[in-house]
Amino acid sequence: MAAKDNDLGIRGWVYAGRYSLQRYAYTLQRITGLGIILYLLIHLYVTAQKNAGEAAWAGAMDAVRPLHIGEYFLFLAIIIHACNGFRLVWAEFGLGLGHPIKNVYPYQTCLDRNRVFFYAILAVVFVLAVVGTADFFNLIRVL
Amino acid sequence: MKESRLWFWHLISGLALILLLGIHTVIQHFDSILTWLGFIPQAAWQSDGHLVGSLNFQHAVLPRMQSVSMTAVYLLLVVFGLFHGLYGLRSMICELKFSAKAKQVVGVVILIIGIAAAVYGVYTVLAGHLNPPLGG
Amino acid sequence: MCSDPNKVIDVTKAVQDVILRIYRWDSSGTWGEDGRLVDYKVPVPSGMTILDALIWIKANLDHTLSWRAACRMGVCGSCGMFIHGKPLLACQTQVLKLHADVIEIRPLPNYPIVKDLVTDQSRMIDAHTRLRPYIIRTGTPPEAIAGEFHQTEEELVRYLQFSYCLKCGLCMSACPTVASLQEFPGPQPLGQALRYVYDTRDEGFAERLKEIDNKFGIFRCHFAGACSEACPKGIDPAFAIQLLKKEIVKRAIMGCRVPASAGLMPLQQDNAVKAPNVPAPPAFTVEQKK
Repeated sequence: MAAKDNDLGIRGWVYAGRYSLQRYAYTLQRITGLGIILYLLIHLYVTAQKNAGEAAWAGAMDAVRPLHIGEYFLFLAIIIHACNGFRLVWAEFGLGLGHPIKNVYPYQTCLDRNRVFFYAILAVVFVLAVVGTADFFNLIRVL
Repeated sequence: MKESRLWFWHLISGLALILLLGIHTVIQHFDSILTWLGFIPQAAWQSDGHLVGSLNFQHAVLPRMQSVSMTAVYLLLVVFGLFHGLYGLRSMICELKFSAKAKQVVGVVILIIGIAAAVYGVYTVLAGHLNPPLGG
Repeated sequence: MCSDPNKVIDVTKAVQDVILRIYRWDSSGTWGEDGRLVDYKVPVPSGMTILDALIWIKANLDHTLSWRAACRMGVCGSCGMFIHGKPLLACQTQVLKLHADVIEIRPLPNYPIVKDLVTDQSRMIDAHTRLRPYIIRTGTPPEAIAGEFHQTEEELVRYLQFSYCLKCGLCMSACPTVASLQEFPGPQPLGQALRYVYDTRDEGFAERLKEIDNKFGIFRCHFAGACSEACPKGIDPAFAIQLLKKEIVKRAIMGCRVPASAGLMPLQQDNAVKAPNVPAPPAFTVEQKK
């Protein structure tokens, strides 16, 4: 009997149902990671123009100046990706998730045991975002 | 290399990048915050036309590129950053729906891009270290 | 929970009418090529589960509606469906506890649809089989094992929660990697691989590693954790997979020594040396004939 394909596909990365914040932290990790690697490849080229003399450097800076606001989003992407990534490195090495238990209803999962760490990471992201926003938009004046 | 080893280095490079990028971001863009925290003196133009107390790229690149430790940080940044980012990109592409053979080709392409970018990046850092740009 | 344990709830009296919006599809195109959602209004008494509601619909409104179910008490894993935005067991989900006037019910995502709410689970079963879900004793054929294995309480608890898997497949529906990568084994097979790796009686880590240490294997899991949220039995497959990654790092990358597997208990003899920490058997309650 013919069966109908029912895979969510790439849509399943973005939204697959009513799951918790940690599930969607995965989506954000992917999006920010993609943004950062694309930036890195361009950044290597642009920064190398510093070695090519003043004219080349000025030209490179002129070319990227319209994208300056992108640097702000890049900064946000980096802090989200780095802080959540730090949590993921611990978790994927099997640390910070507790120990196997005789799981009795209502069931506890490693996500419950990881939640405090997750919220601490969110707090760090928030603080860094505030500080970075203040710096980027010159809310802290130095010169 | 076996997938487990690639993945292991992906995580280790991620941890290293948190540290290295932290150093890089702070030095490149947070001189105002460092001043506010008291780690560097308030930036001021001197009478002879140069700026003190700022770590801004345009004004401090000469001493920074000369230092061996900063060069080492940049070299590690290039290598770890490219490996971590391109392995992540390759793993995202591997999880899409198309043939396994095409995924193998994409993997090779990413490897070539990575090696080329790493060579270019290492060359840039070493060129900056050995022949610093004149006049900042 | 009931505030008054003496209160009698009349389960035959409908408390509310709820619309169940159910996905219908069959291979002969009755509901269109892509299928469609059909509304069924069900009078819901207190305590009615989604499974009870489906049975009511089949009996009273539409006898062509199809789904899988067996035990109706949450132990067989047959009735997994995508209910109101989450993969749930229909027999374990009370309609009124969803607090919705319209409840959308779809077949479990990431499995091909056979008809209506019935899906083809062979992807999960094949991946599960490939990862050898049984005790592997290298070098000793099963028929040569003439006794019990020794296992302490601590060694048992280490894998016990992972052994309660129903193979319901809800975790596979929740996983973002299963959604897009066909070759990925999935949380259920990988979780069960850990159940055997952590079992001290098993010696099959190297064999299973070949199946999971590859481009489409365990490392395509990124700890989204939705599988553990979806699991109705507290298996916590996300936890199992991260522990399995830790084992791979310890054994395959760092070269840590694999702990010795469980030995056989000595066969019961009158003058046999007792294994440590094993209590003596209780006295016979029936007089023994000599």
